Amino acid sequence: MITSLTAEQRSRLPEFVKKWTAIGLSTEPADRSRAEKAILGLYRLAKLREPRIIWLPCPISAALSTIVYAKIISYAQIAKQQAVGSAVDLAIDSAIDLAVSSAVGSAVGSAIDSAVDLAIDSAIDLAVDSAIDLAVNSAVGSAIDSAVGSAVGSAIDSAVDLAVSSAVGSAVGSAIGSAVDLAASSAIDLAVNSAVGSAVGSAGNAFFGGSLWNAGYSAWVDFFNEACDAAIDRSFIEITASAGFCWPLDGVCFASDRPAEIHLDHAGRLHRDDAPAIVYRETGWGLYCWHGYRVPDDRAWIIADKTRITAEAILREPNAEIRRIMCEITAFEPIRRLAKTVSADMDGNGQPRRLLRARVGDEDIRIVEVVNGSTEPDGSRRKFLLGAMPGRTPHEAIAASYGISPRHYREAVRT
Amino acid sequence: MRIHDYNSAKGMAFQGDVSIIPVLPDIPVSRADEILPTANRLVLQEGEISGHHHAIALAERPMPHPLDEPDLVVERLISDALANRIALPSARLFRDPSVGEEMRRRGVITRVDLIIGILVIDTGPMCLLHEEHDGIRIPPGAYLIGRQVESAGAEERRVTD
Repeated sequence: MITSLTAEQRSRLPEFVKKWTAIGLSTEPADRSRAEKAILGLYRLAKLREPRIIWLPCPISAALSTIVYAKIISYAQIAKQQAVGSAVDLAIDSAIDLAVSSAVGSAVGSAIDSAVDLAIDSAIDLAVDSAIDLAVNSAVGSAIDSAVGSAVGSAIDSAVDLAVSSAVGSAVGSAIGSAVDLAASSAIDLAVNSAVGSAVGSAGNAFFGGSLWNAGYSAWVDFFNEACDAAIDRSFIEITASAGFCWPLDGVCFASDRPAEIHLDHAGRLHRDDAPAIVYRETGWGLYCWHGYRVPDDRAWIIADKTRITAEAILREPNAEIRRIMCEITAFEPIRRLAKTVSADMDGNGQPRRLLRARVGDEDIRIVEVVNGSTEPDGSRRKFLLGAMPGRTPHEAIAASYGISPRHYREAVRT
Repeated sequence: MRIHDYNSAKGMAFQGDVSIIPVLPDIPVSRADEILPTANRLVLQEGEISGHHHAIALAERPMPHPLDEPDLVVERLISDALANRIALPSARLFRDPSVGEEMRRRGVITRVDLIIGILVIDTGPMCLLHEEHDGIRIPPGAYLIGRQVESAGAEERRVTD
């Protein structure tokens, strides 16, 4: 049982932060033989049959392959079940049909999702977490987790992980949406479809591992295994060290490559001012980001085609962050040309605020320009434009925007 | 990201589109209807597109020191963990419409529809964090948590990120 760290063990913490930050931001192609060995090791640990490993060039192609595969398997199993039903009794009651269908659907769902995902989860829990729990006083464990894990995690997480996993999540969601809609038009009843939909949905979202996602956790595990000699199966962290996201299913595992390019700004945030900030090989799939903010695909033109950013486009954009990015990309030029200052004052941080008026088309638009309470890593502050609520001064308009009486509105802290 | 100390005697706190308004001391807060944390985080507001959260991490202890010396922070975390000085979760969020109504009646706020909930910190301070804004170290007390709206022509809409 480890209840304290030696000076030597403590002195090795920076080494693990450095090692796993580099792994997390690696743009080398996946080390396939190392990853495959680790995936097989993980399946063995979970007492699952050896899977066939299929490599895809990016997380989105791997997620979609998983969905298609799960869908085919689900329908094949349902068709098999229904064929048996017809042979036994052609006049099967529709209520029973519905019940059977749902049951099959859920059974398929569990087979795909729970059996495999859960087995792997619990294998990881048993092999890794319990080993650490047994070997290490849990308070020390969580301190190391915060110290090493979040140091690496914050370098990777804020920069890349969230962006990729949420992009995959939403793409998976919409793919599932259309798959289910299509199926609804077929002869198979709705209950089966929704059961399949949810089984397929679970499969699509049941990803794990990979350099971008698990570097922080892996640093933690690696520290205890390497620096503290805790006996821990390394399969899981070996996957992190050698591949991108993976989707483990029964008998097959879809594994994806690492990114080909990761572009960061000086503060370590995903950023590129004319193209995707993260790009994968072959498919070219990637994400547009502006100083760490992931610009959704339907607004990617604001980076890819800046000439389309006009004052009107800025003022009609409903999202305040996207509006701010459009202003930053154009250095506020379109707004500066159009808007006139009506009133100005200072916020609680001593930063200037302005109430502006602009004529856009036939409309008179009132805007309040505010400065972010937090500074950027280079000491600058972001400016935001908000549609001004009623008020004669920026103070009154801002107080109204939070529903606070202007007489009581006082900023002790603004970040 | 830096962490800023908030002295509630000096006014209100604002983290982007979220407001933190001290509840007047003689207004009671009912604890009957609680908005529960998810995955050990008390999320006050989530970004629509960005997915960024205004949240209090409950499993982590309050951060009493500026994060300027990573090595020092590691040392402190380890020594605090060994000495069992990791703080217990202490921030909770409740719904109690009567608090907002009373704050409006007394003229502090002008409307109640922007209220997200009432944050109660019994032992603290606790840190409100966000991916894009500096953190705010909030002392013990009760606070109305509200959102921000903006004008959109003849209508108004929630400020979103």
